[in-house]
Amino acid sequence: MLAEIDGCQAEGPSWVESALVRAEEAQAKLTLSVDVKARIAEARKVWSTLLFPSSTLEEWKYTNTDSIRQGFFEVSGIAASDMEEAKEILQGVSLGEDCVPVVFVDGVYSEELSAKEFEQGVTLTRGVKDGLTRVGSLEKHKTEAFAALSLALLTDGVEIAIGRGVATSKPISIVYVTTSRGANSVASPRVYVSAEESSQSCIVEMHVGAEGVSYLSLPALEIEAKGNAQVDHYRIQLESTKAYQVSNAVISQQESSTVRTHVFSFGSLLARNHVDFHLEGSNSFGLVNGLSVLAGKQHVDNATVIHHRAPSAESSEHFKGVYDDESRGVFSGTIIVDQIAQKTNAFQSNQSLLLSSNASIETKPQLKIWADDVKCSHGATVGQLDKEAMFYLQSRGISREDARAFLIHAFASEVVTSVTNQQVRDFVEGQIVLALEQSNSTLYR
Amino acid sequence: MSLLKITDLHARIEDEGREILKGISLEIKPGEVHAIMGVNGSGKSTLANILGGKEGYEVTSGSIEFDGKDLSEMDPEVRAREGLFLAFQYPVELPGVLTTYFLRTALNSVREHRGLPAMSVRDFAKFVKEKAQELELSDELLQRAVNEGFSGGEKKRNEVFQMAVLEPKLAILDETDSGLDIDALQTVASGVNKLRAENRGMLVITHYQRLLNYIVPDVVHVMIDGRIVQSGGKELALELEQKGYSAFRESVGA
Repeated sequence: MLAEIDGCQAEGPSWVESALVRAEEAQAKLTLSVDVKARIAEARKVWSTLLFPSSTLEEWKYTNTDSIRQGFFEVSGIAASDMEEAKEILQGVSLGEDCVPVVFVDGVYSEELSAKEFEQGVTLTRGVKDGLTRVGSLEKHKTEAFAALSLALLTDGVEIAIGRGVATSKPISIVYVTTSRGANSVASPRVYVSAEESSQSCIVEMHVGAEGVSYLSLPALEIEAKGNAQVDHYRIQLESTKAYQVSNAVISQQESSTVRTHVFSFGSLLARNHVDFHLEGSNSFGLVNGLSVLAGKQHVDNATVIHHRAPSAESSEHFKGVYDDESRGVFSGTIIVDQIAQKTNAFQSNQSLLLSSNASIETKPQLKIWADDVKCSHGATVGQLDKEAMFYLQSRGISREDARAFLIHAFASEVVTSVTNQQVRDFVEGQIVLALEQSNSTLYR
Repeated sequence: MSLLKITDLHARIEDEGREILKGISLEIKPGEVHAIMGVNGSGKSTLANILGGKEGYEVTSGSIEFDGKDLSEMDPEVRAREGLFLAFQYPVELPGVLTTYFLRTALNSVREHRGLPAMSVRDFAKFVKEKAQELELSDELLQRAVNEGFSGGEKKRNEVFQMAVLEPKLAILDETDSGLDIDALQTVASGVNKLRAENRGMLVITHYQRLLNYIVPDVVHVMIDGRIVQSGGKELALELEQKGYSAFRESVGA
């Protein structure tokens, strides 16, 4: 029997209880600061009150997590992973030589596959060795059920610091690999990045899993950008098309900092991405762009919150989606402007392309503005392939399939144009082309 | 043999049921330039769209033969590969689609159909440069997205440019003069004239006689209410300009 109380529901028979026990054992092996331990305890408590969100909650109206609740997932990293398989998967998502890898395999940091050295001024702190002190400090776990669960189930993590004034020349590529031994596992790898004053860095998150394998991934990333720091952050999700993922990215920005995030979703069966920007310092600039290219029964929900907490900051948000077959997209973009945040400039748009009559998108902009001298704009469009454009291309001798690919590519590529890192740009372009190849076009063969 | 042979063509818009073309017959031989003149709503753009293979129209009776083949069963891309080119009245903007990439794909689709090898990126670059010079057009358009942000004149020039690259047997120019000032009109017309050839036919569709000062047709057809009411030499266009369409309408009792 399931009882529903105020939008929270009793979880009934669930795998979470045993996972929490196993996670506690794993956490005992990590070196955690008093603060981190307290946050984990807090997260467990928050989880025990929130539990799996019910679809009666406004924020979860369009994404049903019953399949996660009713599944069975064990804490990963217990069984030894198959490193050969991990290497093979890694090769498929390589950004090339010119990056610094930080690799998690089945939720556990891999010394073997990660870089041995970092650029000067960059330090990596590991949970097992040196100890974690910062994870959870951006406090998403206090209010969001899955963020709480993710922290409560923490089994490994790293903290990366980009030193004051340091400008890195290579992107740090954080790859989360799930191998076939990670079937039916839950992993909560956690990364905390502190970008010190006037530093410049590029962080690429890559989420990838063995195709056909079902698992749950609850990755969490926190970025703290200090005064004048610049961070380019990319999140490329290529999970198995049977995988579930609920991710959290929280970005906190001090004065005159710039953080540019891109969220690319190609994989997973069901994914929910939380992206929160806290613009704490004046003249800071936060950008979050996204692209989902989905087919089959895939479902990707992007829930973003841009919180303007200081005056004269700027934010820009542009999410696009291409939905084929019975796939489903959800976009909810919340912009909050505190009373103190005068002269805020916030822009948001969501554009969707539906390729099938069974595909759908729910789009929900939400503006909560408490200041009076602000510029906020938002817009959403939903469309199908333009018939006039199709006819125009075909009338030049181009096949229907290629005309379709041309138009989809053109629509999707707009998000890629704002990617400044060439390696990432080429990689994402390649993924778009891969997705289109599956749509019968000969254009890219 | 005729290049285009339309015989007693009747057609309607699919969802409306109202007949737009009420028995059009027309024959174009290689090397000939024909003009169809008519007011808005006379059915001339419907004819262009049906020839191009646009969805949404239904041919209820009659036939269209292109180069000896029945056109009605061909998809638009097959018509293009067979050598039919439709210059649009309103060329479509394709943001994010680079002209050079679009045009090379188009050309290679056409070449493959004609049993020719695909053109490499390098050969194509050389080829389009020559075409641009021939037409005295700048090839700068190639590096932009197709028609995106183009002026009316640039869009029409781009249509002529595409025609030059695809080298069709028959070009249909649907109101190529609409929205052009006199300078742009001259540039576009001179481009079209350079593409006149012994083995190429053209069908110029227009409302006004003005365009025909620059693209001088061999045959002029006057179209009123879905019918060709009179055909003649180029002087018919001038007569139409002087007397107006109403005189022709009265003469056929339309």
